[in-house]
Amino acid sequence: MIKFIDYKLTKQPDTISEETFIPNNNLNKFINSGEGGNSRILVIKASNSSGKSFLLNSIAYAFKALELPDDELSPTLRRSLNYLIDKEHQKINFEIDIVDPDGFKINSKFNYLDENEIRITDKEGVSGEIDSNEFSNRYKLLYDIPENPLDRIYKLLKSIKEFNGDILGSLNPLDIKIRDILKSIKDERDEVIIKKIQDRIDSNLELKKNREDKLNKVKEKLKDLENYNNLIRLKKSIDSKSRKEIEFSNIEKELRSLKPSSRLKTSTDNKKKISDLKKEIRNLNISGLLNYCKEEIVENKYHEKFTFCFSKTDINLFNYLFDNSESIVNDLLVYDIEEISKFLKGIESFKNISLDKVFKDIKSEYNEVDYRFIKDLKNAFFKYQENSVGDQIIVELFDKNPGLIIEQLDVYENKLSVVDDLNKLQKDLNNTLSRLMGKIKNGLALAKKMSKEITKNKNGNNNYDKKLERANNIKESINRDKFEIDKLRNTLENNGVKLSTLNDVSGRENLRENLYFKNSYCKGVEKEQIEEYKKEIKKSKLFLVDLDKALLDDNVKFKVEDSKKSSKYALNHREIQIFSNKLSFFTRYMVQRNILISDNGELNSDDSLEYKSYMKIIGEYVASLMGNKIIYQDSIVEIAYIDYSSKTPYFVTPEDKKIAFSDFSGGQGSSNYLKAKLNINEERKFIVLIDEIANMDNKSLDMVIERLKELDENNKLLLAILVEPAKEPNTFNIRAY
Amino acid sequence: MNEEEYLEKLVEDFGEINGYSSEEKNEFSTVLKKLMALNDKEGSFEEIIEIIIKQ
Repeated sequence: MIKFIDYKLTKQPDTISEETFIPNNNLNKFINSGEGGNSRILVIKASNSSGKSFLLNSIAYAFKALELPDDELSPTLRRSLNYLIDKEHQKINFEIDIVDPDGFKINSKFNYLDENEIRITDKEGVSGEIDSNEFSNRYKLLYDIPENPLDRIYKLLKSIKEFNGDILGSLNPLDIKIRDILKSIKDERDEVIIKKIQDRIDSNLELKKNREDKLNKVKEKLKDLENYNNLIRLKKSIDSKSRKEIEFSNIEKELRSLKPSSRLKTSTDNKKKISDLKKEIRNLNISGLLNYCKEEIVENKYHEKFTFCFSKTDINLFNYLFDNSESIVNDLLVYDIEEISKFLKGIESFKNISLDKVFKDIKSEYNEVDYRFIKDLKNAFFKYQENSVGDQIIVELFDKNPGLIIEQLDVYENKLSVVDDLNKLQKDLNNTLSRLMGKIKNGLALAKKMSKEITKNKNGNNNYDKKLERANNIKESINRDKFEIDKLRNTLENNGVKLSTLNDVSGRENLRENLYFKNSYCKGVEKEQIEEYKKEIKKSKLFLVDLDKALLDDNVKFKVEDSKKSSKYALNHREIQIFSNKLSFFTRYMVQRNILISDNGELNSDDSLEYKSYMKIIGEYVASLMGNKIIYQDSIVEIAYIDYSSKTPYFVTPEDKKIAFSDFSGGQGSSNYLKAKLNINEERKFIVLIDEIANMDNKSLDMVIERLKELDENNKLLLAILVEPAKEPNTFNIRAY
Repeated sequence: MNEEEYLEKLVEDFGEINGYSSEEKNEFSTVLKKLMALNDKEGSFEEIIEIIIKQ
């Protein structure tokens, strides 16, 4: 309620038109006499030029109306306020005291020196100035003049926009906070992750064990194959050594019965030349090639057929050539031309007669002619099919379609493909034997040179020297055999063969026999199988290295995860995650709906079904701002909501009756609008100043007064002054409610 | 209609669109209101978690 009001208005100051105004006597009398009691609702009815609008303007200016945003102060009223403080036009000193229902006293004053302050004095009498922000935090100034009230009802949606802004202002930081919570829970001990890592470690350990078992089995098989090969090589080397030892012993005996030749001292230069030539002969690898040929013949899958087709002479020749592969090397080293020539002839004969005959015999068994015919026929068919348009000729000739013929040709070709295998083997053996002959001829040339070097230093008994040289060569060869035997024994021992077995001939034979049966699954393809196993072992080892790395990584991860502290909220992670998702969706829902209302309160109509329910919510909200009642045709009508979905919005009653905005009179519209503006849910206390209420009928005015009383009863009203013009001159009446 | 009632209507509409049951809608509305009130007072992580998991 107003406790004090005073002003002095000087119009056209310092001019001949200067006039001074002070508050109307009736106003002074009303305030000073306490006629209005504690009423905070005043309706002033006064004649024109009685100062009623000046009074409202001044109170509004005193309470910072010019700082209101554009949508809260009409351009007409803003102009009036600016005119009020125009010092060239008028000078004002104004002061007002109002008592707040909570016992505060509010004093506001301003003057033409631009001084404008609001002071609040509390119940204890402590007084202090407050700035416009603090004032607007406590009080809501509503200064209005009803203009186009129906349009403005529409714009009440702006308060919803603000509402949405408040809600989103809370939702967004909350959304972020909950995501942070989820993140921090994630960094804590997670039993699910720990179990996952543990399971992976267990499964990898099992996999590792399986792979290691498999690897060991393959290693074992490889060892069996290698041991078998090495035992055969060992047998050969031992046999070779024994044979050479007998030969050596015989030559030694012969030497003892011969007279040694007189010797010249061998020069160091000469010795080196001889040694180099010997080395060159050995490096020809003649015995290696002989062994290779022997293996190719003895170990190939047609060996039995070979044996069957060989004559006795062929077998003798084979044994002579291949049984002692060192023999021809020794002949070369002593330049034994007779033996070398005999050996060369033997090779040639074996290659051109024995082998050729054997291969012809075996191939004839497989009918090479048929094989060639089938192959040629198949090629001819393919060529014909590629180049011809139709298959008519083939069908007529063979009474079968070409596809079927090719299928049958494939069957024959597979059956006869063994001929290809034999051809390959024959070619390989022929090539090797040719190379061998070439190498022996090379060796012969080297031996001739060496022989010259040797005879340079010797006189007399050539036979003695030759035998001595042979004896020396055999001794060297025996030493090489010894070296080979030691090497093979070491390898076998390292591969798990017991020394006692290695030392015993029958032990070695038994083991070789056992391994022969054990390895029979890959008979004839042992070499390929060894390579296959080696590849498999290499692959498995690489796999195990990778697996070990993965296990090492997982063990570290496990230790890290296991060392994390357990959070009492970790178990609620899912629950919080679900709420967080809902909150994010709800925030998005709010953002999408908020876009429907522009910043200045215009509705961006969207008649999609998705937004229909929201349109109803905002219609209900604006209806509630009006207390769910409107004045229509002199009656108070209850409304449920406002239907904004059509071009002309409707008020909709609980009975679903519709009243269009456009059907309202200006006065009713003003009343409805003002009611909505006087929102009972506003947290601040209202200062209500309304000019020109004349266009409202009594019922409409009564509804506004009722709403003001409601605010007053709820401690939400500081002061309300409503002004209407009086037709009678010199009138200034004040009614208190 | 005050802000709380308006929010309730929004949650109801949101829940309806997303096929929530009445119980789910009420639960979400209650937790949301509590969290928004707590948010104004700058509530701690623990307080937020407690509100979500106690519901």
